[in-house]
Amino acid sequence: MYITAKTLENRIISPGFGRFLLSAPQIAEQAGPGQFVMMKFWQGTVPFLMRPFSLNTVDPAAGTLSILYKIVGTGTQILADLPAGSEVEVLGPLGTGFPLSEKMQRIAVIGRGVGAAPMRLLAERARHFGIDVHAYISADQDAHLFDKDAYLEAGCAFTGCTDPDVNVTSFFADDLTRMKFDAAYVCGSRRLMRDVSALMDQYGFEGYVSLEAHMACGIGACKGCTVPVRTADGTEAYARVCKDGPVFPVKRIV
Amino acid sequence: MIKTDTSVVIGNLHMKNPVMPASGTYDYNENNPGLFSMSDLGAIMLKTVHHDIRPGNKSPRIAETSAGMLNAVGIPSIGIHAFIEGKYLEKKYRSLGAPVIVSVSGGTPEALRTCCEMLDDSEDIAAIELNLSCPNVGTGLQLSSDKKLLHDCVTEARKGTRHTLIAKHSPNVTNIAKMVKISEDAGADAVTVANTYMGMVIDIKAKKPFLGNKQGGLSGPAIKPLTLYKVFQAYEAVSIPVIGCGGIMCAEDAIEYILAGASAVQVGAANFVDPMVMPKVIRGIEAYMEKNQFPDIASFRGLAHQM
Repeated sequence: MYITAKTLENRIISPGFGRFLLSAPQIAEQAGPGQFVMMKFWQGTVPFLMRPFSLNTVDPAAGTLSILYKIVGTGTQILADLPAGSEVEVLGPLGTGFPLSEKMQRIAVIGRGVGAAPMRLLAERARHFGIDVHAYISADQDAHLFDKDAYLEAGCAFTGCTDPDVNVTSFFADDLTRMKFDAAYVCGSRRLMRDVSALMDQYGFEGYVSLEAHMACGIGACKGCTVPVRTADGTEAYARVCKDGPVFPVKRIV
Repeated sequence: MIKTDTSVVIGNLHMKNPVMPASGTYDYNENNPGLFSMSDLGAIMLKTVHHDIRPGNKSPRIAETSAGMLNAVGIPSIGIHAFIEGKYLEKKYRSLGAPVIVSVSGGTPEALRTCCEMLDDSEDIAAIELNLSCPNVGTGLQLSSDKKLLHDCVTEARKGTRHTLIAKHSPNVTNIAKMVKISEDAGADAVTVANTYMGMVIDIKAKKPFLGNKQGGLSGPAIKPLTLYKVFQAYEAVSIPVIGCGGIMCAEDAIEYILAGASAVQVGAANFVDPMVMPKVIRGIEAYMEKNQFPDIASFRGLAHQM
């Protein structure tokens, strides 16, 4: 759906990073973990394209969505300057999100920095199902382990890693020697995905990755955001990050 | 208040209003966000079906620019044979309530003729648009940037179909008037002016072209004055209808194109920025006609030439 939504709160949570809370009841009712929204929050044609954002939290009862962002360019700078009360155009929820089953008993969510934003929603939804959630989040500094408190509050086991010489997936690898995981979900870095892929070969759990791409439409029409993937018959083909993804089975990624 | 009639006729294509999407920007096959009824549109335009099976270009395919965007999608296509065999027109486009135009492309005049021949039997389409911005297999030139190639493409396509034939031109030419006249003389029922302008973005960190294909086509409001002028020129050069396409973001832009001589308009990149833009353009044209007491599109089409 395509709505005009009201900004409830927008604050810088660490220099260069912000958290944006939006009232969008219709979207909040439908949105699942791993899905995203396209947003336009300026007048005129510069910048031109709507911006894709993953959903950090979704509260259907309150009718709100939140987004975690890093100020990287013109668009996110405009977003950072947006006062509470501002109206933004929102198209969503979009894309294929993380598959999650109530039958799962234990999952791992793995991500890096602001790229780990959609993992919080996934973890919270999984906890709601009573699934044991282990979060492995890396960042360049403690202040950038943005959702640490939220993971702990939701009852997740949280491992934060800010040591550049230690790979956060090594903690997951250690846990895999002691307990069985049904699935691992990863985003924010290709390296993390490769690590998870190797652990899948060793331990045989399901693995899913959320990808990012430059997008124009966000709904699959423009074919602008493609990535090469493996198809069922073993050949390679382009898939659209916005529509076929952003979440893909790890083993499909070329 | 007078009764206004927004309908337009282009060959055998009867549109209830002059607004349709530009090919490749609003794919009704499976990516319609469902925000408005397809029957609201003047016509439904498919993403280009290529003669060959093509994966499309490598990423990135999209680059944002000032007031616009570059795309180098590269016409990913299942190919005309699979398109016909899959019965997509019957299964997905029948009964949508607006006439359907199939955009086709190919690397040679013969490939375009084959596409037209294969679509000729279909009762589900109202027109065929030739995407003539595809590079020629032999010369690498865009089909509509070379006079001889353009002539051969439209001539061969014409032989292949009884359907209304629209030639979509590249704007990357010195004299659009001469080029659209070639299409008219070769049997086109209408011309679309125009496709995108070749351009590039360079990544200064990587020190190389940003797009996977190096260059891409510029669209969006940045190009509107450029294409508006080409439509103005094309209108004076041919007696067949001209379809304006370039940077339309709102009804006022579409009205400028009609005043320049366009019989209909295509909305492209704006669909990415506002998925509700086409109904807004349609309503805006109606409001303009009512305000100016224009009973139909013909009563203000080309008026800007009377200066």
